[in-house]
Amino acid sequence: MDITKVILITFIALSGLLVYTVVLRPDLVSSRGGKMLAFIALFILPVALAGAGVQTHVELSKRTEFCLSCHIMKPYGQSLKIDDSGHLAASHFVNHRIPAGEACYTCHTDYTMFGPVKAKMHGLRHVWVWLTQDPKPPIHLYKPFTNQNCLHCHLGAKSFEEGAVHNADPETMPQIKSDKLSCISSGCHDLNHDTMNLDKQKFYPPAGAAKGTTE
Amino acid sequence: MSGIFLLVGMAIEAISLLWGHPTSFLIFAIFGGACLALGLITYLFSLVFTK
Repeated sequence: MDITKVILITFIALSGLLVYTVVLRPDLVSSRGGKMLAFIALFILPVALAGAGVQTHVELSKRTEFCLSCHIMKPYGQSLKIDDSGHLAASHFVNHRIPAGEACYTCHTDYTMFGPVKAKMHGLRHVWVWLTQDPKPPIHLYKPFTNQNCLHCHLGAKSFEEGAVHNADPETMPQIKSDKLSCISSGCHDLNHDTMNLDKQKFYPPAGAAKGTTE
Repeated sequence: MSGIFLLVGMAIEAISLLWGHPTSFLIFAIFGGACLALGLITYLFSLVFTK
């Protein structure tokens, strides 16, 4: 188990014990020291633990296995392992161009001040849509994929800045950088999560290979 | 009363952390958050209104 979780759960248990003691022994809180103990047990610690709990849950939600734990996301997890460099998401994941443990979050979070908060709000919206609309695969993004998610890493990289196609026309690069020409839906890098053709693909690692998976 | 709410809230928080599923965040935020908030409010009210 994750060390952060272990530490937090241990603190929760210890705080719970302290609260339990205060509840069982109300005579303890009659003195000044007891009142301070009660304030720590019944206010300071719960507030701190709630904050730490939110922070831990947000960190956990960045993980690839967290996103893939929903049934509808399973094909997207499989598409990350397609052994074909023409598949954009798979080529990033298989070659570790993005952190394998945070693959979904790395490419699908807006890199703005409130990007992670917006990602959590989207997560809550996923639940609402799931409960009210019963979505069927293939699922779709709420809004077009922004180039900023790609440029967060690729901007300034030689392969991007000096790429022949990116510079073939003097208008192309400014359009990419200003998000007027989409990286993934302008006919350039449009093969992403090809979930409808998974049965025709080869995967890395091959089935049966003893290697870590994302599911 | 406050202690009982807080204990329930903490228990929900611990269980939600052990589970690690998207639903566990919702349970933590809705039920755990509600219990912790009720516990804190009850305690603060007791500080203000108890003679």
